[in-house]
Amino acid sequence: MPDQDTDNEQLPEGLLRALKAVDAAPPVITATIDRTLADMAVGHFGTRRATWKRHGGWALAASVALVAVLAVQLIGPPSGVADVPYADLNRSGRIDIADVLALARAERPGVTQADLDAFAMRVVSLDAGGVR
Amino acid sequence: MKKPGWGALALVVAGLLSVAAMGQAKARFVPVEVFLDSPEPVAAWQFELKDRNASMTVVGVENGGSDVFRRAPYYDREAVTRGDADRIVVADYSLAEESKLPSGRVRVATVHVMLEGDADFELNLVTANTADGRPIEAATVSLEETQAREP
Repeated sequence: MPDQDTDNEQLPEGLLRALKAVDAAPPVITATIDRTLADMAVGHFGTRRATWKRHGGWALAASVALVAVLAVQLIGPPSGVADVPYADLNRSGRIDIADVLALARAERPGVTQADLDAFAMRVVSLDAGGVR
Repeated sequence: MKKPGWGALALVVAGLLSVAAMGQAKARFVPVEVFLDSPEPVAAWQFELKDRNASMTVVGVENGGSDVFRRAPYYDREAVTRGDADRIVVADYSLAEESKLPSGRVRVATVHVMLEGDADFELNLVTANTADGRPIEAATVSLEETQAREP
């Protein structure tokens, strides 16, 4: 296509107006506007972050609790504390001194005489396990 | 107005005397010996003693006559200490060799009771077991009141 306006430096009027509009000075951002925008940003993103943290915290706590429960189940209670049951160990249908005898005979590791005494005392307790 | 007769007065006096007598019902202390009778050697036993007349308060429990049940048996010491044991559950077990376990008629405990009135004891054997934990179905319990002492 032949370049017809090579020497013509006069631009069309509409183009000149459009170029001047684009080249206009930016609006002045005062310190007040800047602070307001910053506060809005902090308010918006700060809230979202706190919510995420809150959910994350619960999830973390639940995970730790779950791991602790699983660890106790798999490894057993901390050393020195026997898991002495108050239960119908001989399946007689009743918790009585025969269950204490069964536990004593079983010689479970960690079960001490004090544990057996506590079991027996509960068996004869008038408030709790004592037969009526 | 008609004066009350001598009969009415006698009734009032009799009533007052009976109320006074009830208030001053003498308490007496009675050791009750509990015997277990078992055809097989006993490794564990448990009984319950009650009083149908609700006149009993258990004030102490001591061991019986068997060497393998030498220590004081298990019972609710707190209730006895509090003074509100109107019944008692007593039990004990032994890990002694079977050859050393008692059989036949054995005094397993002596229950010391305070009676405020006439007692009607109810003694139940909860369980008696062999060394391997098997229940001794033929085992029975009985009691004997020994000499009462007044406070």
